[in-house]
Amino acid sequence: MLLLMVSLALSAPLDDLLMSELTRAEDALSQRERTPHYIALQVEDRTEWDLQARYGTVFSKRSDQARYLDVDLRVGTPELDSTHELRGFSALDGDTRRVTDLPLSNAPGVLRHAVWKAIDQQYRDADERIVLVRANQQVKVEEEQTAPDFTVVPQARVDGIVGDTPVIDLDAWQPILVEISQIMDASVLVRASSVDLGVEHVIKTFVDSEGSRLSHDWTHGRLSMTASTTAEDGDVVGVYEAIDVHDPSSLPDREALLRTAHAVVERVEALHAAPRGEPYSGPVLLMGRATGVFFHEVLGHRVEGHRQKREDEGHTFADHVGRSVLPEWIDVYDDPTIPVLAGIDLNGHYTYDDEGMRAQRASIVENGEFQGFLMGRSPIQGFESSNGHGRRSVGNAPVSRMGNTIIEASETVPFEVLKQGLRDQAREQDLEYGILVESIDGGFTLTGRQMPNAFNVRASASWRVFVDGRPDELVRGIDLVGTPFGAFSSILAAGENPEVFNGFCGAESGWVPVSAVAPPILFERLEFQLKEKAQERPPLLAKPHPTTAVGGDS
Amino acid sequence: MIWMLALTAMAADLDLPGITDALSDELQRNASELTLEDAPPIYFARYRALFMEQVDVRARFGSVISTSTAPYRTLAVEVRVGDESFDNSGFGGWQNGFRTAGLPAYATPESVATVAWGATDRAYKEAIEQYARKAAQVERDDDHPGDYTLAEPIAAILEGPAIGASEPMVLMAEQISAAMAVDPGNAVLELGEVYVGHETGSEVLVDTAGTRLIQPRSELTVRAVFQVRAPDGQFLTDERLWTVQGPEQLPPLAEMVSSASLMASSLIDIANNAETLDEEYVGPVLFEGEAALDLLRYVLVPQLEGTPDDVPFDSFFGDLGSRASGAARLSRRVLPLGWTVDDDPLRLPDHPGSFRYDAEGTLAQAVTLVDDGIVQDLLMSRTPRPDIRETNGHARGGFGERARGRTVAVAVTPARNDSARKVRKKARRLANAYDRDWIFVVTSLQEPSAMAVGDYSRYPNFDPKQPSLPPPVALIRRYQDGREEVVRGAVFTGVQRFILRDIAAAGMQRSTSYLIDGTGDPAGFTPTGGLPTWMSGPDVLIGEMELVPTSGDPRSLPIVPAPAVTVNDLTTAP
Repeated sequence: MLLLMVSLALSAPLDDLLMSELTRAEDALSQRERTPHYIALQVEDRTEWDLQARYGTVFSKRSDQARYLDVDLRVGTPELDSTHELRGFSALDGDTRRVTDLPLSNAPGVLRHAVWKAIDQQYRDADERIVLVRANQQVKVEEEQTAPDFTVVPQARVDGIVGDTPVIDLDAWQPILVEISQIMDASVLVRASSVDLGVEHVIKTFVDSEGSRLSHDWTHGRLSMTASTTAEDGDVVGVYEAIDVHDPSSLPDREALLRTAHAVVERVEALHAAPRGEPYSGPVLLMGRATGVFFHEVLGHRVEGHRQKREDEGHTFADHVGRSVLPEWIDVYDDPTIPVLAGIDLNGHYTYDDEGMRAQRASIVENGEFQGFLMGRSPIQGFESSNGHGRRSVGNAPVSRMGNTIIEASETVPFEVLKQGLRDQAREQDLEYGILVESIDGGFTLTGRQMPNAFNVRASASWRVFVDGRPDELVRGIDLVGTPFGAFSSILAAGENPEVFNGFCGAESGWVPVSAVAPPILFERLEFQLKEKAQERPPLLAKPHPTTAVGGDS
Repeated sequence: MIWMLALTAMAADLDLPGITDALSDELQRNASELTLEDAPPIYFARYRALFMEQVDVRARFGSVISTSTAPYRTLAVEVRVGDESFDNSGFGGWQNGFRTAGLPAYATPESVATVAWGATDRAYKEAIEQYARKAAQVERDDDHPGDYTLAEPIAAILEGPAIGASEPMVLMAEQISAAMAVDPGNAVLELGEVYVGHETGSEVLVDTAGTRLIQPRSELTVRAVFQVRAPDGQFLTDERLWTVQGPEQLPPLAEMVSSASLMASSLIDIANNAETLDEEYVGPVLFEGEAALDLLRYVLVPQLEGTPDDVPFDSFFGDLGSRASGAARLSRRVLPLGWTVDDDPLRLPDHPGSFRYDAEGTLAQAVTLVDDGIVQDLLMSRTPRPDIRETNGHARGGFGERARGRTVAVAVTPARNDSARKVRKKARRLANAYDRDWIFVVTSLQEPSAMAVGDYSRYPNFDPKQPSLPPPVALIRRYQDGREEVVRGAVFTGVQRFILRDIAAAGMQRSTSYLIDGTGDPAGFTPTGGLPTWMSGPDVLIGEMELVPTSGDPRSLPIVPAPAVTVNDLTTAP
């Protein structure tokens, strides 16, 4: 396949062009009755490569370029502006912006035209919304949070840190991915499988009405394998393994990847044979990656600063600054400035956030005591400044989000001690077994007031660890559920070796790359509920290739 | 800068005969072995697979917005359970036994068989449930013609077009779009974009009756879309379309550039200088050129498409899944005496819509649809209707759903083509009856897919029960002394099918190509999406139509003044 990339021929610096159009718009709008107090423009130049193998052959192979513009325009004053929450106006309280696609070249005329249209549209929306905001303020009760809508930063940020575009040889990767796919597809039980190499290089160019001019880049490569099957009871069980890197050349070699492929197949086959778990309340041992996701869902989303302002949010930790929320031997912080930890690249690494603020370490819990929030440029009482966590994907307004969420334990025990602790706890609670969660494939949490303030961590592999010493038993079909304070109050001990979970987190500002780093942790009592189960019968006929006659129930 | 995108030679590496064998074997295995106790049996099944190489380019005012080159491989599975007289098809809703599934770019016989296995399993289970839903809700009338017609198998391997050599698609898109960067005067340039879609490859069709077909498919479509806002806020669009089989059939680039430039300048002129319609108009309207063919496409063609509509599925959400037009009827007068309409998929073998075998593997046939103004036949797929039981090889679309009888290359021929002078004379006479010394002339209608670019909500809602026409780009008020005034801001209202029965005069014969939606709408949804279709027909003088004013919204005008741009600023093309 011939893949030709369009080179970005820069006929004029992009930031100059953006700034000139921003200034022109500011001038034009300065005579209006309602004027913007802040405008920011951010362009994302995205180059993506993707190679996917399925069914033992190349399923897709492509490379794309695209360029998107985001306009953040605030009408009113920093104290009260057009982004303010509209209470009771749920249908109008969304961000109505659209993604603006820009030409790939810097031809000034067409670029200016596109930027102008986007600014004009954003102003039009903001100009209308500030009127609604003021009316809303008049008719509703006083707000609990009275912090301004925006943090003014008098000091312009100027920086340019753009590396080279990575070189990806998809042709070289092709035979490796095909071989992996063939390994997974050879299993008569594997109903669907895929191996995917995706690389993206993103250059962000940011200018704002404070005079900031930034350009910085981010490269991400992910090699993932997924395989699934349908158990006899209809439960679709799958395994997803991914390796995330900042430099595609640092991906594992063929032999290591083939070993992973075999492991994926073995795990799928084991899950196919595994019994379905059952609702459970008792001791639980989360392995490091599972602990990372647990903290991401249970703590991380609840300490995003903007959530403390919304009147419909739970404000779980809003009144807990300086109070103990975790054992005193646990620290939690979010630090996007760390690129690598324990030899593993962290997905949540970045240098500047999407509000043009330098990424900073944000302390969340220190010695078990709650310290503060992840902050963008939307201040809350007691936390007036951004700590560089305003993030979004294109087409969304930035809000405070996690980057690298790191859970550290100052007191740890060896893993075998933790596991014995699990058995001991189960025995004390008069249970036949405790549960060890080896891996998870994600989770979600409800942080609002209308629904229970609960979390769900989706376990993809859990083990029954029996008190009588029987071999551990793999189970499928159960998810970890609970509420924050209850879960945190039952933490007993932590293990020694932290693990990294790399993923992408979806919330109101879109999907952003994140990491969670944590050691294994033993809980005195957590709950599991049954996972939803598909109702489709397994395929009625055996898979045509290979020809081994297994896999059907007809 | 010249950017080249090339169609790849990947298709040459495909083992199409081997893949066809694998699909055929897997289809037969599934059809004979997929059985559940007490469930209706599979009586017919079909696979259609597309193996295409695609190039897509989008450019705006001379600059590339996006490009892609990628193979497009997809499999459509059709599973029918029950029997011909009553099966799971023709009933609203989804999950009905018709599915699609992606195929690998580097498809092998083994890989396509595996995809087919998974998709057929799902389609079979869904077909059984859909059959049960339909059986529970549908009362069969005595004259129910059945749901499907089995046909003798066909085996053919047709020669495909050569894979296109590298073509400067990007350069073409840049240059044509740059030509739309015209001085807007007091109007506002909203958008000037060009979309290029080029796909070439093969379609494989196998069925349980033993049909085994490999047919070539090739299409290159270029659409220039121009959008402008008049000084009073009114939004106007126009477009130009070229749809051919391959690059060598395109007109010279200079001609396309010139056409786009002229279209843009003309629309800017209309936006700035045309008067707006200030009151309702009732009277004669002369449709000339593209507008005449559009009138026939929107009002006449739906009356000639014979595939019965789905019976709506009575669901919690209301009736689902029926277009329910019921427009087609045999023996009905749809045009004046002496007019004929015929459609022949092989009329123009070099047209991208042309085919020898239709989407159901039926040999395409030339059909006389209208004779002496009366409907004699309809465009049919293998779904029978009470008055026509047989297909005539016009099934189109049908990926993931039932194929429908659609036009391919339709010729509308009047009893007589009057000279322009004679048409004008008749128009004058009609205008006099309304006490006017002028009539309205329409030369082009706005194209739905062009209207929808940037805002899908602008795509017209085609009411299958009643014809609807998109708004005209502009009206020309043509006086008896030859003077002309351009008027904008009008939409048709109360369009009825009978207006074609009362055509007052037919003028010069014209032809054009356009894209129709695969599911039944008379227009494609995206600039290059849809089935290429050709039509020939005359200019048409309608005795009476209604037009009403539609005003612009000044609030839509920009608050930040548009940047001053010139052609030189906008183009990066050499």
